[in-house]
Amino acid sequence: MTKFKIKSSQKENWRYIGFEVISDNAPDEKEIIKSITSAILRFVGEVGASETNVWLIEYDEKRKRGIFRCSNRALTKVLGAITTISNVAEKPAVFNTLGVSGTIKKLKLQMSK
Amino acid sequence: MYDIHNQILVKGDNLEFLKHFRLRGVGAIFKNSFNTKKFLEIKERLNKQYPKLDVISGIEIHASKKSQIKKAIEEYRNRVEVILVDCKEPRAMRAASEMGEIDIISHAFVDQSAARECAKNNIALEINLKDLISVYGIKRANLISKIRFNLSLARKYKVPLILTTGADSIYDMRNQRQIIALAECIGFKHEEAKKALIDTPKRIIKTNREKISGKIIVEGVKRV
Repeated sequence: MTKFKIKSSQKENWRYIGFEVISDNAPDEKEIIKSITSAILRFVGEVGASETNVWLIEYDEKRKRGIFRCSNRALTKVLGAITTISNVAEKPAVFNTLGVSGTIKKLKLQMSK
Repeated sequence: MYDIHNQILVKGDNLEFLKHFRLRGVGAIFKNSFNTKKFLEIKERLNKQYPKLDVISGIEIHASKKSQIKKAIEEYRNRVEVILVDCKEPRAMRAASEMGEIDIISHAFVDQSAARECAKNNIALEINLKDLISVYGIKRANLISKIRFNLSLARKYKVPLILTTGADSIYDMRNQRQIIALAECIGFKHEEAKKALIDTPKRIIKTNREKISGKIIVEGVKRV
């Protein structure tokens, strides 16, 4: 079997987005994933969502803070879609971004400020 | 970021939102009637907690007739820093666009002639985020297409635009980065969105404060 090498320029560039959920209740990881994906699907459609490659990296239920990543090219679409979220688990909530970075280490520094 | 059209301060005493969203200026917008005493109370309370925050006094007039707008201008022009007009009828909207005393037409969907008048009288058009967030599906799609049309008119006639949250509660608030991203998604250029969120509101407030303090005597004449 032939192995295909990928040039570094062809690799996906990720952007890591730090967020906090402002809500009265504490939503769990599943609810967060559901609300992010459904917002993206609703806002940019299925073809647009295929370009975003969103993935939840970590989420702290107690602090209601977390990090997810998306494709660099789709950052604006993802942020725009997240802005439209007004409910998580059928309760009013806001996704407030705390920072955007190319590495998790730098993002955590931004979030701690 | 300046969030002019914000009613959280007027509606309640929940100031929690101010620590989450980094705001430079926030509006205390009263609907139809301005209460000076209440505004001063709000300002005093905020100055203690957030000394750097700029609190802007304003009034939103809901009008369906030209006479209602005229009456409100006579009463409030020298008392408040920002006057917003929410026009329920296209005729009122066109009349509002001809009055230079108004600062902002809120929830604005203007036509060609109104846009030309707005540019002439330096009236800003407000794009309210709450309108966009509170609906979804085909309604949101139609709204975005209307905003795009307004945006094209604003570019053509050089009408100032402002982006506001229109927040009633903390759940309507969004931060600067997210608002700019959403604006870019619906057709704004990055610089346009930034200008609509920071520069234009700042300019409106600055000139109005100078007018109230007597620094600007008439349009074009300034005491140095």
